Amino acid sequence: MSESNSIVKMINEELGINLLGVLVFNGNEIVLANDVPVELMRLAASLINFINRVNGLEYAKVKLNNVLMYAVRSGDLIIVFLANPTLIEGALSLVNRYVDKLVKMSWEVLNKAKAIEPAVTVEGDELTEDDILILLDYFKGKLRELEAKGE
Amino acid sequence: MVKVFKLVIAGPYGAGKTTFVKTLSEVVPIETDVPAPGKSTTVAFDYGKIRVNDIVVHLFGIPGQERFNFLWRIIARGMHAYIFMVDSSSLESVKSAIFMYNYFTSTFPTTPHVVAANKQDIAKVDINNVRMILGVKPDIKVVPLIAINKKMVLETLVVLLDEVHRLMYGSSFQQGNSHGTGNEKTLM
Repeated sequence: MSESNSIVKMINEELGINLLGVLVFNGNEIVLANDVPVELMRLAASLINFINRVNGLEYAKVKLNNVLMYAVRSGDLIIVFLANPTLIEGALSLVNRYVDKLVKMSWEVLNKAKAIEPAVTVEGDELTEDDILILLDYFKGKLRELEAKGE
Repeated sequence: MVKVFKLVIAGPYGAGKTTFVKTLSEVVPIETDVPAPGKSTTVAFDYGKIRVNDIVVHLFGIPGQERFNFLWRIIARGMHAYIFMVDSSSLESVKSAIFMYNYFTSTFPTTPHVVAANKQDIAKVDINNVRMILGVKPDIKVVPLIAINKKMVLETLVVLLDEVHRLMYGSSFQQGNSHGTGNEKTLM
């Protein structure tokens, strides 16, 4: 269960609506996501591509494939609310009050990633065929040892 | 000179990546799991390593949740190969892997990999169905796995290394290759 799941639940309970999910993008990358179906993620990603290409576009509202997508820009981040298209205009505008909370949560995640990035940027070296065969020999040997022990 | 072999363990939430790293690593792995409802979940990454002569195998288990997908590329940078793990104990779990598998195969199309169908002791989805659901190409191997079983973990690793060798050098170790000398081809 992700934070975005709980915030979707909270928004739905507080507003009495039925949001399908929330996504937060940084550029074209997802920072926070509900467990929304891949098809909806793809639709949202298309919308984000469009918004990123248009300077000064602060929000967008699109109905596509029976899904209403409402995207709001906040600095470098874009928050996308996914809803049933029957959701009334007034209810949709109420979700704006959750933008700041989602932005805060997203930056926490991004900062955590930035903090650990130096630790995970170990990159593989150039390996020769002999190197690969040495690894294969070693792990096959470990397997034989286990088999010999009857494990 | 010590060389680095970077291996990434990918797969969705609950696939068993942390267990795999724990089973294989010869040092105490670094874990970044936090409690989640009913189990724990990795929020950053798992790390373990194995030293083989002058080669250090670095193992990175990546966070499975889609909200961390911006980390996937960071952690995968410079990897030689990856094992994509799925929890085959339910159809729903296997289906939850589709997004991530598509991400990896489209972002790293030439990186050698195998798919490991984990939790075979309680499997509800056989490896043929795992292949079908994920859309695994016929030339990619899908292997059965129980991540707490060291023998099966080693077998998975051997299959992967054999794939690395086959893809880079066009033949399978299991088909009778011996150590060559003076190889000029390199991986990376």
